Amino acid sequence: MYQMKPLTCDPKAIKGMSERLIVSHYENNYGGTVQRLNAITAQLAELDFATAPMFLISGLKREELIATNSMILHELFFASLGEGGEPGRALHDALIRDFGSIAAWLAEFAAVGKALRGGSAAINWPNVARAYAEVAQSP
Amino acid sequence: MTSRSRSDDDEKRTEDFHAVQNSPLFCRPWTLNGISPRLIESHYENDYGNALSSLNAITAELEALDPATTAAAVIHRLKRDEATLLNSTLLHELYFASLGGDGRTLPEPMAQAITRDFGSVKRWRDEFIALAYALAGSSGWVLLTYVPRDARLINHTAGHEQSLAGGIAILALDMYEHAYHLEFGANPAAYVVAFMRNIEWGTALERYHNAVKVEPPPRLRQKQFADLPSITVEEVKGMLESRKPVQIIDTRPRHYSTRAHEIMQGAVWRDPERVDEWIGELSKAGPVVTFCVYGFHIGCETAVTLRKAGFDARYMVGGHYAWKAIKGPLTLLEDTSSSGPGPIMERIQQEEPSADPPLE
Repeated sequence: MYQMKPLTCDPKAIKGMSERLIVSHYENNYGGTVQRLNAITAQLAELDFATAPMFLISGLKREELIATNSMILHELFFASLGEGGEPGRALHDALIRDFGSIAAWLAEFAAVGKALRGGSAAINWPNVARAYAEVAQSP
Repeated sequence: MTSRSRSDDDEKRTEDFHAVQNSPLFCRPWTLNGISPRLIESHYENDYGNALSSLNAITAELEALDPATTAAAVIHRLKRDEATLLNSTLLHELYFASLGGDGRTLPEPMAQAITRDFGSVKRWRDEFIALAYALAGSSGWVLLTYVPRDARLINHTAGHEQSLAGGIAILALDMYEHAYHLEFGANPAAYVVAFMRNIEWGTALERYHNAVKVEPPPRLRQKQFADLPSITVEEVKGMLESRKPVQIIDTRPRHYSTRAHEIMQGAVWRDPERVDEWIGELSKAGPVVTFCVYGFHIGCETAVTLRKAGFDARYMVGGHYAWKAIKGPLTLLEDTSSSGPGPIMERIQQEEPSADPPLE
């Protein structure tokens, strides 16, 4: 049985995203995913793998992977939101080591986000990128 | 790194280019039982080798691009290929490292971990083999993966382009045709049996020991309420379903509740600004649970106030929306002006005195 995680960001405090958007995302998409994952897990627990039909096993295991990823990534998404600002020292240094500069990491991250488009229309990546670049450049 | 011609600028870029280094063959091919050196050599040289060199070519291409001005479709394709090839490289390394043992002798800590998470080693083995057979008509990986979020092992299948978020694979079976057709032809089942006979459990255990060092994602921290006892929505749901007596107070702020139209079933709304007026409705004989909209402040503050007054009070983590997200039952919130003795006491009095130990 997978336990729900509480919302880790305060939906009223996220700049550029409405409380309603975050709350609906959490309640419907994330909540629905955990429910679905628990239903799949319960079905898998009942299976005798030595005798169950293969399409049933592969179907359930595929859905289990999708739902598990959706659960974990949604939790990380909500935990990724907050007051903005700069990454802490260790993360700052790691980003520079692996991407050359914070701006280079941000440009790539934003470009990948923009290229995906579908489902993330509410996030204005160029604005986020600009806002972040300004914060990153300020002394 | 790549053979194509590049401008001087590009040459300069490739100096900083993050090439992924080749990993030598981990298993000793001549020691394997029922799997020939020729199969392993071809697999390592061609499939692993190609994944690695393609990955480095893509990485070099990506590092030479300016993501801010490159077409989105180009970035999308290159990043997708990069992730696929990196996964293929890493999983092949894990596959070769999974071979070389006798498959039968599980070190005791490995057997214990598998028994904890699958019920028994047999159940794990049945599941792992069934997943491999189910892939025989198509292709993919069968993986035994440690998931830090829940501190447990799971079997799953995946393509090169997939992984389990935050998971650490400790055992890999390659079910792409290239892994077996040279020797097993159209008989993947015989290949699966051979793989199981050659699992190197010693290094699998070492990888497991390394994996469990990864902490689960950090929990929500609320410094000002760090010592305040809490309860999860699942626990509260369990208490209601087993009819344990509990007094649940919805303390969403009045300005919020006046425009809300639903309330958790089994809870009564009380104004968090007027605790003094309704505290007399509560009984010290049973636990009290408070909550607010998201679980950040008001439900916690009310629980603090009630604890100071001697009640066994705790706040429900995640509040009203966590309850909704687990699809907990709701009822119509009709009137938030009530402050007279509500059903809080009644619910306690209907129940037999609880034989259960009080909540810790």
